[in-house]
Amino acid sequence: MAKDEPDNARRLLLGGMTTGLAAAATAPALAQGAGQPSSGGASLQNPATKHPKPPFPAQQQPWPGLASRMNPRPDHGESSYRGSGRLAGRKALITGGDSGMGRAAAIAYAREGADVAINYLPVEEPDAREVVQLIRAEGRKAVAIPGDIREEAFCRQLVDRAVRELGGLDILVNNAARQQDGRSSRTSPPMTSTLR
Amino acid sequence: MPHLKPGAAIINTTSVVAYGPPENIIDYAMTKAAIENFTKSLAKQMAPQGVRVNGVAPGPIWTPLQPSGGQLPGKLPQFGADTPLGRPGQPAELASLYVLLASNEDSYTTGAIFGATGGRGGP
Repeated sequence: MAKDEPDNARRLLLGGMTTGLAAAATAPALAQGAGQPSSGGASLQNPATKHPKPPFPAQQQPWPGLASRMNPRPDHGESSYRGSGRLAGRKALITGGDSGMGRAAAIAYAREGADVAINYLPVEEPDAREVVQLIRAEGRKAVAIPGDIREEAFCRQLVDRAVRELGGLDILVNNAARQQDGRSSRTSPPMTSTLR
Repeated sequence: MPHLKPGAAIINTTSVVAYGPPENIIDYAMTKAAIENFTKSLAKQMAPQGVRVNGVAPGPIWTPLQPSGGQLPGKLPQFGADTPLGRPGQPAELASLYVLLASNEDSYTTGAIFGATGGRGGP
């Protein structure tokens, strides 16, 4: 998808240059388009075919899994999300910020001008490192705070550290989750682990 | 909470399973239903302080949660096929919801759940 963007933008621009009036009309639309979140700018995209469809290759990972080991790799907006200062100067804390929606939010927040702290489990460090690099590539502050939010004491440390290192907190994204198919086990320990 | 000033935002990730709980992830669906409810009551509690609280309800999204036990291995190849859009969502497709709900532009939205489900279930 990202590969289409420059072409689409160029086509729009060239189209806009064909007449003065169209150019005048297109310029603000382009400026707005550049600020649109998600991929693709102003061109129409079919949502049914925009991203990979099943069937997917069979694959399995030990919990909690890494995005970097998935096939195909998930798209968190690494090459497509374009910001426009909508969250300039904000300070955000995102749990589960190493992968999935948390990572997509972390990348988008940084590109919208926010400093971002991400929380994740220590075993998710490889994914988290990528996110930290992506945030820093935007010139924003990235704070990595590994730890298990099933422990209340850690939750307190997490917030305290985020506030201290970011210099405050404006956005909290409670996103981390645990899901285990439980048809065969309805026993207490794994259920309690998910509930926490 | 004491750190959040007027204009701050809390965004919770809930799920379509809060609205249509399946048979295989009872505990997960319980947490997501609780998060949906928590979002709405906390929004009321925080409104006088100028803090908005909203949620995002994803459908099947292509994340590491799925191949690490979230789905049975045999079901993963068809993950997302049962949505009207015929595919799972990618995390990037929800980024704009998290941005919107955090931004000033969305200042009258609190206690709301925004869905990104591929057309099946959700708020």
